[in-house]
Amino acid sequence: MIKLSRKITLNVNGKNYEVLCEAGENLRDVLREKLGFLGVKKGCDFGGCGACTVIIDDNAVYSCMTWAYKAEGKKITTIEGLSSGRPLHPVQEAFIALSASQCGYCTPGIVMSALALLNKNPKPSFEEIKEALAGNMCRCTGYVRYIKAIVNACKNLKKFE
Amino acid sequence: MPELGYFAPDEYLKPNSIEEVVNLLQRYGDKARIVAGGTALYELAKRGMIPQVKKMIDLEYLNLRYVRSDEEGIKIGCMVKIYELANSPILDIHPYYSIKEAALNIRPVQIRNMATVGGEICSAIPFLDLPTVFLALDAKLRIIGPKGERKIDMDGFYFDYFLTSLGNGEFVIEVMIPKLPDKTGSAFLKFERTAVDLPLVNVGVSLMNKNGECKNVRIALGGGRTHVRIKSLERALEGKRFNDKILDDIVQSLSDEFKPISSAHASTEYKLEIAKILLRDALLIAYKRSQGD
Ligand SMILES: Cc1cc2nc3c(=O)[nH]c(=O)nc-3n(C[C@H](O)[C@H](O)[C@H](O)COP(=O)(O)OP(=O)(O)OC[C@H]3O[C@@H](n4cnc5c(N)ncnc54)[C@H](O)[C@@H]3O)c2cc1C
Repeated sequence: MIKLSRKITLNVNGKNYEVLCEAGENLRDVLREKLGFLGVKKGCDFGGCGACTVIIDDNAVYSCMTWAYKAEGKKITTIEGLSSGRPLHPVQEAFIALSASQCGYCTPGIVMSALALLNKNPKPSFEEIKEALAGNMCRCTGYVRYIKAIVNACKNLKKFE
Repeated sequence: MPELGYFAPDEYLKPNSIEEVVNLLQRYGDKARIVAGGTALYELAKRGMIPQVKKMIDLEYLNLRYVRSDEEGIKIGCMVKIYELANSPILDIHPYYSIKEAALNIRPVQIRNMATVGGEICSAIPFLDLPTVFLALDAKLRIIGPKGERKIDMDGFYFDYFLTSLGNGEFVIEVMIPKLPDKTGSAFLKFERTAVDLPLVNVGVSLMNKNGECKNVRIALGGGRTHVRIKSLERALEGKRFNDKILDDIVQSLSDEFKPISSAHASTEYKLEIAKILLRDALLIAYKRSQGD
């Protein structure tokens, strides 16, 4: 049996980080407070608001409800991994073009949910987009612009690669 | 219930054999908790409900993530994620389609990506969706413990809210749905306030159609103190042909057999009325499916 010491290695945005973790810590706190990925937001803290959404091995998950130790050995992607040192991702471009966000707090989580969807399904229907965003709350603008922006983003996905 | 308090486990263990899990569970008793998807556990921890837990035991490193079909029926490993059920082609055939229906309607997608079949069952939260659908399909649970393996009917697994028949050192490794005859139809329906909310009540049914008569009727509901089968209604429908009168009678008698728990969201009476409507609709859908539609 592997008995874990308290130092674990997390792969975030393609880079390995060694970090001291307690058994009861969640991934969101480790990402934010120990590794400085402040794009991962803290919202409801009970799985539901979606502000803390990250992608683990191709799937959108809540980082608040993900135990840090569970994320070991997996590929974690946060909003910071999207465009650091590169042009903005088409989803981000489209959000800006349509002024889809207002206060912006929910935006990183929504981008991550959209990205997880588009990676699997580059031409989603309106319904499929709604389904993918069901776990992300926005309390300023509503969702219509976000959805429209994601539809627009699909047209530019190819260019990004 | 233990006193409320801060969650401060000292070890997160990743055993890679079933024996190790049993040993750990036995050694640490109440101080150990299994982590499957970890989502319900997180809520319990946050609410201060499991301060006694010191050892977290993750089942992810055992080989318990499979959906298979063989001559006995369909076998689902406890670590299968909800999205994997929703995507499984094995569940596309009629008798089992309600499993897929339930899985697809658990929202949000983040939870489908994290929560597991074992976690849905062993949380013993009486309004979760998968237990209802499994009960209505006569599911059996494979349980491993210090004395080896036992296989039980899922009916009887729940004693109360948060309370199952799992003994010290035991855990669930697999759900088995017995092979159902061809002309079996099943259905699952639930009622929730919003698309991402937990359901207030849910209903699972299955039945076989023998020349227009109902056989092997199973009716399960979630939203009471535990998930339950309503056997008196199953018997009342056995051997009968569907008509409005029978359906009305069945649905009316639900009042005597099912008592949803009242909550901040809705009263017992309200949930019962909803349950009646869901039951009627679910029976009609299952019947239609049993005809091959
Ligand atoms: C916002 C939100 C919405 C949700 N909506 C729904 C919904 O609509 N319908 C629905 O059905 N569910 C829904 N859920 C999921 C549900 O509430 C639970 O969180 C989920 O089912 C738990 O699964 P898990 O794998 O994460 O379990 P865990 O949290 O890992 O485990 C739960 C409990 O079961 C025990 N356990 C787990 N596996 C085993 C095993 N194999 N043997 C013995 N014990 C075990 C653990 O020790 C723990 O006590 C929702 C959750 C959230 C956060």
